[in-house]
Amino acid sequence: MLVTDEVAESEELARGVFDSDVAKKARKELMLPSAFMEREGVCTLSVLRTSIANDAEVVRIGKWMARKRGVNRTIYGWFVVSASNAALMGRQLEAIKVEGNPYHADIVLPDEDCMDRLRRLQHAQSLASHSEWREFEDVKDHANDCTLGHV
Amino acid sequence: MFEMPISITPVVTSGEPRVLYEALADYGPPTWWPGTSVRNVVIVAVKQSDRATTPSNSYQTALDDLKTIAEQAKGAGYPIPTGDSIGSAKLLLEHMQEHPKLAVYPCPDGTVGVSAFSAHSKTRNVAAVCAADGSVVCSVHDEYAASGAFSADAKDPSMIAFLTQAIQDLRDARD
Repeated sequence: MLVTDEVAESEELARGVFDSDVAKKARKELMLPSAFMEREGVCTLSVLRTSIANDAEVVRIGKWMARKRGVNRTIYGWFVVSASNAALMGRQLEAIKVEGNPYHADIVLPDEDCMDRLRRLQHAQSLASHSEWREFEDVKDHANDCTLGHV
Repeated sequence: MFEMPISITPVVTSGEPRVLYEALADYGPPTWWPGTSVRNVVIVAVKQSDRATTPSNSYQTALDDLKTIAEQAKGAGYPIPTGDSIGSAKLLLEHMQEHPKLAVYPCPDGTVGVSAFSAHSKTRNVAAVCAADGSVVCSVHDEYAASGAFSADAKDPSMIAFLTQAIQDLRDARD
């Protein structure tokens, strides 16, 4: 599928989950904001444009992302959010291809919010609240489903 | 024979129902303890503030998770939370203990997160993060957006008041 330079509103974006506790809670519909948090001072959240990648690529990139995090790291699943919800509260979406992952995109927090702990929490809370949990193995079943919409 | 719960104020009277109702205005829903006849009725009422709380299973799980939060943070590659941040999280949890859907978790910035989720809505929740110095930021998310926030020390009565109200609102919201 064509990798466009801009993230379309109809796309879905997936945030990889590498923490088994976050996955365990997500399976009970407890969508933790920490899935959309980063270290202090980091204002971008990496996501995968799963709706424009094919099934095999989503699986390959997921495993590659886990390996990049260290030996024995596992990807458990994804927090999947529609692009329209990812762009709420002034967040920007930037399609940025990286080596090994042409489907990479960043959700960028507004500059004025980046160093504000409360605003960072609110962004994470907004993204997690509008996300759906998807098991890693199940991604291929939904990879071309662009109908997530406003949940 | 009935066993009386702890922290109760017994009221024994044979007055009219209206008088009893007014006398109990400051109390929660009364428990009726029937005596030997309808003319001898014991009403046991418990002031709302004295009402014993019933911790949820979720609270116990959250407390257990809090005990291993440092290991969880280490495993995820996050900075290890400080004792003050863990202490603040514990204090917040104590004020949320009746809520049925709670979670405590380490965050990538070294803070400890505490969340309460609605039993009825996927998007309604209350989240707080406890920083290294013990300070807390707390945010309420309703159906579509952030709807309230408060920042203070975890021990600050105004923070507890905000959190308690937010949890109550979360439980009351049915849509």
